Amino acid sequence: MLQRLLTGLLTLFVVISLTFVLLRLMPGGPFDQERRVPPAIKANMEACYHLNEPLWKQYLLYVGGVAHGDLGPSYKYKSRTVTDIVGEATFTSAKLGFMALLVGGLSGVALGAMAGLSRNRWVDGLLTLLGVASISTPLFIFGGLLVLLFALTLNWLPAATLETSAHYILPVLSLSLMPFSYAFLLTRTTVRETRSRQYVLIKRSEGLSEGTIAVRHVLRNSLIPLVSILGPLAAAIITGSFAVEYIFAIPGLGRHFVTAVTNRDYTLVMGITIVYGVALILFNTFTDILYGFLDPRLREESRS
Amino acid sequence: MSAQLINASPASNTVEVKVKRKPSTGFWRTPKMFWSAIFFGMILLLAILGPLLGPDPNVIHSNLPTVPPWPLPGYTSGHWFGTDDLGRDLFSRLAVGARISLLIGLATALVSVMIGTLYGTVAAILEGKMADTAMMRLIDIIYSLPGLMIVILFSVFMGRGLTSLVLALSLFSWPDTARIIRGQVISIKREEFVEAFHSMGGHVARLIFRHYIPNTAGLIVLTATITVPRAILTESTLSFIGLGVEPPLSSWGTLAGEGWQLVRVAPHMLLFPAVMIFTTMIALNLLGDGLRELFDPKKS
Repeated sequence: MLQRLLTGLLTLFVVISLTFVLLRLMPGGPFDQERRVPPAIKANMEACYHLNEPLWKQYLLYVGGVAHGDLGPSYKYKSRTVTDIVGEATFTSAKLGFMALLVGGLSGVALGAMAGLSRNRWVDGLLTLLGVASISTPLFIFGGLLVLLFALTLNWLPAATLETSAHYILPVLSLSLMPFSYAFLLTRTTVRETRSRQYVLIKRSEGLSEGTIAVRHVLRNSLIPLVSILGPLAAAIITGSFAVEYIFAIPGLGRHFVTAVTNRDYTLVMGITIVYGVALILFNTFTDILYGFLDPRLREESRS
Repeated sequence: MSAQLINASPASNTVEVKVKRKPSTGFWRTPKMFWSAIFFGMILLLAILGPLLGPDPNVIHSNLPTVPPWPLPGYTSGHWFGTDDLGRDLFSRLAVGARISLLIGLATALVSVMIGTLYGTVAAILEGKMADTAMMRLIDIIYSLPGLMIVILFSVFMGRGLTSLVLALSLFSWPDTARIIRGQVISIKREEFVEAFHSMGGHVARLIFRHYIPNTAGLIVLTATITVPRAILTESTLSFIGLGVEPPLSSWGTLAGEGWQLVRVAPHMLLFPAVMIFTTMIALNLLGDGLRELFDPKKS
C-alpha cells in the first residue's frame, strides 16, 4: 500500500516535471501571438508571470504553488485562475465520464455475459462481431456518425453543447464506446472460462437449473476481473474526452487542453495534465485496493 | 486465475514450453485471418500505388467544390468518390492519406517493438535484481501517465512532422511489448538449453540474439500487430482534432477532421475516411486476434 502511494507520488512528480520541461522548451511564448507588443510591455508581462526568472526558479515556484493547490494564473483568460477553470471543466468532464462509464460498463457486461453464456453459434458470432466492431471504431468516427444520423439527418437530438438533458444523450453514448468494448470483451472471456470450471460442472450435476448456475455461480465469479480494468477504463474515458468534447463543443478538460496547447497557455496545460494525472493515479490505486478486497487470492499473489 | 493456483505444480512448465511451438499450417485456415490479411494487403497496395490510381490529389478544381460521390445526383465522372471543398479528388486524397496513416502505424510498431524487445529481454536477464525492478517501475510510471496529453505535447514540441509523431506514439506503446517479451524470455530462461549454453561458457549477447529473440519471434510479431492499429487510432484522433500531422501532409484522420468541419454540406468527406479507418482497424484487429489465438498456450 505504501509502495503504491510512493509510486503514485513519483508518477505525479514525473507528470509535473515532464510537462513543465516540454512546455518551456516549446517554440514560442504565450505572449507571442496576435499583434506585436512593444518589447517593454512584453518584458513587463513576462516579469508579472515570473517568465523572466531562470527555469529552475520558475519550476520551484510552480511546484510550491501546486503543493498549496494553486495552479497559477491563466495566460489567456486573464481574469481567471487555472484552478478556477480546471475545477469547472473537471466537473463537466467527470459528469460525462461517469455517465459513460455507467452506460458503457453495464451494457458491455450484459451483452458480454450474453455472448459468453450463449450456446447458439449465431448469437455468439453476432455479438462477437459487435465487440470487434466496437473496439475498431475510433471515438471521433462513432461520435461524428451519431451526430450525422441523429442530429443532422433525423433531427431527433441536439448536435452540440450541454444545455438540456437531451443534449447529454449523444456525447454520453459516444463516450461509452470504449467502456462498452472493454467490458464486453472481458466479460465474454471470463464467463466462458468460468463456465468450464469444475465447480460449475458440479453444480450442474447437482441438478441446479442453467439459469441459476449462470447467475449465481458463473456471473458472480466472472465479474471480479472486471474491476481490474477500471484503471484502463478511466484512461480510455480521458482519451475519449478529447474527441468527444471536440465534436460536441463541450467546455471540459479535453477541449480546454487542446485550445490551451494551441494558445501556449502553459499554466492551463499543466493544470489539466496534473488533474488527469491525479485522476489516473487515484483510479489505479482504488482499483488495486478494491481488487484485493474482492479477490483474496490476489493479495497472496502480489505479496510473493 | 484460480486454475493456476490450484495446479501450482511443476507441471505448469509444460504450458510455457508450448508457447515456442512454431505456428502450425492452420494459419490461413481461419477465414477471418485470411480475409483480413487480404483486405489489409489491398489497403497496403492502395497506399503504395496511391496517387497513381486516380487524378492528382493536389490539383484544385475550383469549379468543382464538394462534388458528391457516385451515384448521388450531381456527381462528376472521374471523381467517383466526390471532391473536397477545394475540388480536390477525394479518392486520391484517401490514397495519399492511406500512405501517411499506414506509415505512421507501421513505423510506430517497428520502433516500439525494437525498443520493447531489447528492454524486455534485458529486464528478463536481470530478473530479480534491483535493475529489473527499476526498469519495471519505469514502465508502471509510463502506464499511469496521461498518455494522449503527453503525446500531444511531445509532437507539438518536436514539430508535428512524421518522425516526431512516430516517436511520440512509440513513447507509450513500447512498454506493452517490453512486458510481454520479458515474461516470455523469463520462461525461456528456465529451460535446459540455456543452462547448457551457460555451462559451455557462451556469451550473453549471443544468447540474446541467437536464442531469446528468435524464440520470442511469434510474440514479437503479435505485439507489432497489436501496436499498428493502436498507433493508427491515436494518430487519426490527433489529426482529427487538429493536433496530428501538419499540412501539406494529410492522414485519414486529417481528412475526417476536414469532413467533420463540412459535415452539413458534404457528409461524404467524413464518411469515406471514416469507412477507411474503420475497415482497416477491423482487419488489423482480426489479424491480431487470430495471431493471439495461434500463440495462446491455453488453446493449443
